Amino acid sequence: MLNTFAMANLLKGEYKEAFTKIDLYGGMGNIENSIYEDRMANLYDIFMEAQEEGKPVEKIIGKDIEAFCKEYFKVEEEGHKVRDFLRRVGYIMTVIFIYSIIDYVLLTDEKRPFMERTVDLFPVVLGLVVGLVLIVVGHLVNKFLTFKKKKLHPTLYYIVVLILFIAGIIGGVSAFSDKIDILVPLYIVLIVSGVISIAYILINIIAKLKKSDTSKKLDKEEKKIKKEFEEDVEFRGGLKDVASGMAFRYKRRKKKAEKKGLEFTQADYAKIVQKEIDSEKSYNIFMGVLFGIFVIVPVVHEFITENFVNGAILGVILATIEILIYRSFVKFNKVQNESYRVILAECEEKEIDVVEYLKQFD
Amino acid sequence: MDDTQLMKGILEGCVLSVISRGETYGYEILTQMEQVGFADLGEGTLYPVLTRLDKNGYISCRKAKSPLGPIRKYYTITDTGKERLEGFKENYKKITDSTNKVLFGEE
Repeated sequence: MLNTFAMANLLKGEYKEAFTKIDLYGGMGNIENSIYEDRMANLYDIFMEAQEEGKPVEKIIGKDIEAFCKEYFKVEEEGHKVRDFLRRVGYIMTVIFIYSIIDYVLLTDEKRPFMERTVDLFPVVLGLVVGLVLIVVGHLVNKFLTFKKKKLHPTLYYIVVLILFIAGIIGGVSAFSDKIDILVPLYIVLIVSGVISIAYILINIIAKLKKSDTSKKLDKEEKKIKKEFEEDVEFRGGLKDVASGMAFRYKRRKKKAEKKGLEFTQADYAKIVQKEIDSEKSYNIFMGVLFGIFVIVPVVHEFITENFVNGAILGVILATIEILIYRSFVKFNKVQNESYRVILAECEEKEIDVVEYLKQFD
Repeated sequence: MDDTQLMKGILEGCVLSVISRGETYGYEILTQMEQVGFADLGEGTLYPVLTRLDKNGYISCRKAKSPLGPIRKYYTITDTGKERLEGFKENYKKITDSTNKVLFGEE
């Protein structure tokens, strides 16, 4: 996934500001992800070169940033709207399919035979309604923030949207859960959502297979370049955030030491950070064991209560989720330690502390 | 045909012509167009033109790393694109010749 926050960190002044605004418009503008990522990567390339040449950002995006966004994210491609609609239906059906399976697995005390069991689709419908309302409201707020306000804090904006979404869901559930039930026979939900989800996946696979060998090779090469680019941007763009955290901790330790009448230097701090870097392997093992316990305990519980099928399904679901989370933990840890190494090395070379180092991003 | 449609057609022809001179990329096209007088042509207008040309098969696009690091799209004209450009040049000449005769009385 393209880390546009990291990209914005690598731009400066008016370029950074414009990029952030356009990113917020694209990110919250109900735009297909591949189109949004493609446009943002292209814009980043153009901005980097224009910034290097010292060109004013207006030369690239014009005076009216709102008009630019509308034009830039517009898709004129034939059949795009139909494809986009089908894609959304595919996603929703996959969510319903997974939800129904989880609902089936979690309601282990349900004794009715499978064919008589029902699933309550109310939470899914509620999620969709809250999501749709948020898209509309969010888009209006977004337009105001992006085009009328001068200063913008995208992270804060995304957090507010997330909180509103969770609040909407919790509020909706507590207000209507006892009053509204959308009960549908489980087997019907599983068949319909399963067939549509699988058909959607198959269509995508067939489309990929239909491609010529040359374009497949090109796709593979492009994917590799894209991955390298994303990792590079994430790393370099993330340096500012890592340095910012380091500077905060460095200042805190320095203050504490000074209160005790002691001296605290960059070299002292480097030793502490180095210890953190050295513990990467043990940290990963510890997290791996912890995640393993999260998977094993509920599954063992199911097996003890003799729900073997449920135990197996639950095991697969939990293992899939936990592996994904664990991998992100390991990756995050690796990137962070690499950032520590780079920052410490540069501080040592230039004989500065992390606070000085951070200033280069201003 | 309104002004926007006319401009859209002209822009497509000009961008295609710039790409026909050799493999190039977004910022370079923007700069070249600016140098010849399309001063107000921003990325918001150029990118949809490039996407359209690519979808219609007039240009091909490959992604590679740029010297500054980012992923960059490089464009090349295709054979269909070359035919399209020749067609555009002919049509454009006909239209401008006729327009000049009407507007400025040129023979």
